[in-house]
Amino acid sequence: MSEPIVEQIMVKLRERVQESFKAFRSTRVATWMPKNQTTHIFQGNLTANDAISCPGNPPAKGWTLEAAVAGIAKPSDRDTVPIDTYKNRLGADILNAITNATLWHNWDGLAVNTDMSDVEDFSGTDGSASGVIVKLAIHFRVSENDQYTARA
Amino acid sequence: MTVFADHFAATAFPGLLSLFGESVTYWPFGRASRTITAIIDRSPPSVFDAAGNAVLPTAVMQVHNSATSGISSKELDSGADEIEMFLRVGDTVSKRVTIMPTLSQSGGVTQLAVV
Repeated sequence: MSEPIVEQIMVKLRERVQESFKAFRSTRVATWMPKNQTTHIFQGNLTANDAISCPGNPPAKGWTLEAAVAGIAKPSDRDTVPIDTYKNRLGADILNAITNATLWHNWDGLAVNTDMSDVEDFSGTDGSASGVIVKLAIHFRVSENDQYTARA
Repeated sequence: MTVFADHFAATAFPGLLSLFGESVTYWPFGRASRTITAIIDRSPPSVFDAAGNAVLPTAVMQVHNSATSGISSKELDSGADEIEMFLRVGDTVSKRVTIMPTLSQSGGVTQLAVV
């Protein structure tokens, strides 16, 4: 079954991260466990991007997808390496995994461009887990009347 | 431990374990697993906000603070150890879950949150 372009992009993001990490997208009640060095891939808002929309018949509608990869740092209680060292490595390795493809930014022709946004720190309030969230802004275009068809 | 904790661990908690406990498997990182008895409160799923609002099943369990009949708080490694348990009552397939924080370690009882 065909999926909307936004979903196809998220699938490709997971595939790319999965080459370096265990990478999960959550079901409604997740079945993965927040272990050390696992990643959770999720998305935020889909925002209209008129700057890349273009006229035509039908017109091409531009969108910006906020995608995120959370890398979990939960080393042993007895680990003597600073937690920030793990976070720094996670952030760098996730970005390397994402960009490890020819023309990485267009997701095999599904997107127009991708901007690396922030690498945010997170820490569980109970101190049980922490890590980084790598955020991406993925700009893509679809036919105005067909969200399943990418437009170059 | 305090005298109260000693008495609670020696007399009261074993009684609670025999009434409310169930068998789970403790997998200490890098060492052999062992079967222990735990009182498990299966909570509703909770939101794992820290890494993107994932909804994860959680539970709170209480075990003897002991390296033989339970889990010693001294040996516990919440970053690496795992518990094998049934996530829902009636499940036929057990699942290995990770230990999140150690909630308390008093009265001869180690209380853990798992997810």
